[in-house]
Amino acid sequence: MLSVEGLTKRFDSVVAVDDVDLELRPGEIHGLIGPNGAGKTTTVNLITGELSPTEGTIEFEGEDLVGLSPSTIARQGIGRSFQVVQYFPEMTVRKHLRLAVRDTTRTVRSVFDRDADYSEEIRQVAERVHLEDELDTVARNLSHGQKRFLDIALVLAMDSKVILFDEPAAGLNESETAEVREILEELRGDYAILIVEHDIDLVRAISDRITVLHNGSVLTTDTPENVVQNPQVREVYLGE
Amino acid sequence: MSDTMADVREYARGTARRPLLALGVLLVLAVPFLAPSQADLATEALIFGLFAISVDVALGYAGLLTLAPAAFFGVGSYTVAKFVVDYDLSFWLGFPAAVILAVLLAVAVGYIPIKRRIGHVYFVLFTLAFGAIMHDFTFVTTWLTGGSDGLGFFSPPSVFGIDLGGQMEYYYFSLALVALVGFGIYRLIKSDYGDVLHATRQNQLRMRYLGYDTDRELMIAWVLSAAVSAFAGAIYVGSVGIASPSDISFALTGDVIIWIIVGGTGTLLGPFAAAVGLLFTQELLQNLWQGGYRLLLGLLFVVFVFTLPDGLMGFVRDDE
Repeated sequence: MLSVEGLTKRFDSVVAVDDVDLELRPGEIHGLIGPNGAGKTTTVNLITGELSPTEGTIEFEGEDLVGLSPSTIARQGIGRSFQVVQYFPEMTVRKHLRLAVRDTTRTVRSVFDRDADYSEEIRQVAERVHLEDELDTVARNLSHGQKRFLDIALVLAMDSKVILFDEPAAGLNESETAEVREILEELRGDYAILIVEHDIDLVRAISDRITVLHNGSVLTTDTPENVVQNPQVREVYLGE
Repeated sequence: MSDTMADVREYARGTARRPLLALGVLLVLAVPFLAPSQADLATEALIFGLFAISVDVALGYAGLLTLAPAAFFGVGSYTVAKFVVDYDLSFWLGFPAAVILAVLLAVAVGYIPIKRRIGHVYFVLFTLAFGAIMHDFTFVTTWLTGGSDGLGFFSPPSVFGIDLGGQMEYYYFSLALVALVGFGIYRLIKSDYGDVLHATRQNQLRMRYLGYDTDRELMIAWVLSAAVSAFAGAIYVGSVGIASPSDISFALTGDVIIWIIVGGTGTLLGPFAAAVGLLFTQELLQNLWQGGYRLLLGLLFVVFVFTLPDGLMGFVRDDE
């Protein structure tokens, strides 16, 4: 579904991502882990068009994504969340989701869409992330955990086929992390998901496969069980 | 916020909202009859109200701090005056010409800072440079703009047998145009497009990753703002009969920015009401204390920035 081959990103003499191959299969949850500075977020930024690769190809459903803008890539069906939650502090949850649900190319012409009603889609997405009671809450008044859920909801509302979650549990307490896990489990099968996360227990629990990055290169891609048994992974990532 | 302030706010946006709006509409319609001697001033106030609305689209909704609103207003007034005074062409032809010229100039000024995303501060600097160039241009190109004398004098033509040269007639003509364009902008901003701009102002990164071409949306807002500013300038020159350097001055740019801050950025009605109110205040002060108006504007700017940064309408409207 999403295929990355030979992906390389150099910043002057620093190689942030080095010849990375990654394949995301339909319906799978794929973990992407590695120590700080391993190139995880850079890889996500390359796939989503925030950065241009120095070398390599990124194909989504047979189409080359290299050189496309983030908004074009998003419209093709690749959504992402962020390490630092990105939202609109002055807008309600409902307006957030309306912006995500509607046709993003029809903006000025929306003046003719007076009857456009997305309430059912908005309600369904809000329920998936447990925000159905907060639809009329202004986003800045949400708790940190709820803002994380809103970030996830935005991606779901876009009707993406592939979702890249960049540390969806960052800064969350135990119960909120459990909620994120529950939400992600419920998405299994509906989307191809790439999850970058430092919480190794969360990644092990929900991933079908895990890719481990180290110094910008792929150390291994395997099932969670095999990855945690891999001596190289234990050495570079778990410090054993 | 104190209970009294909260009560005032609740009253203004609840019980009193419709009666206040109705009273405002009635007043606007009856001005030439209630105060015939003030019809010219009222016409000017309406036009500057539309001008404030146009700048609010860029500044308040899109978050584009422009220092060139008067440049576009002046483009409108000078284009119409040029057509009528020097080229002996139709007054009406000047309107589309003014808008087209403003659109072209807005694209030229805004393309690099917006589309190339070189930073918000560069947009401010580009508009500052453009405003300064346009202002100086009016003085140095006497053959084109009439220099410090401006381009005049002329009277607007008749339409359907109504002589627009009359104070009352031009007032209602201006009112019709201001209402039409103002309502169009209101409808646009109340559509999803308003939310798109509002969200883009708050977080461009998130908007891009939702699939929005934020550069395109900002360019649309910027060009729309410039076009309506020029349209306001075109109506204005018909009222005063001369295009002069004051139409394109930094003093006017300063005025419109303060009207927007006092009325409330991103509220449309607030800047309109502030422009109208402060223009009448200026007239009142002119007879009592020369120079008092500028001092008042300066004070209002400081007071509103520090105590009511959302302006009067921001104070009255909902939190969102």
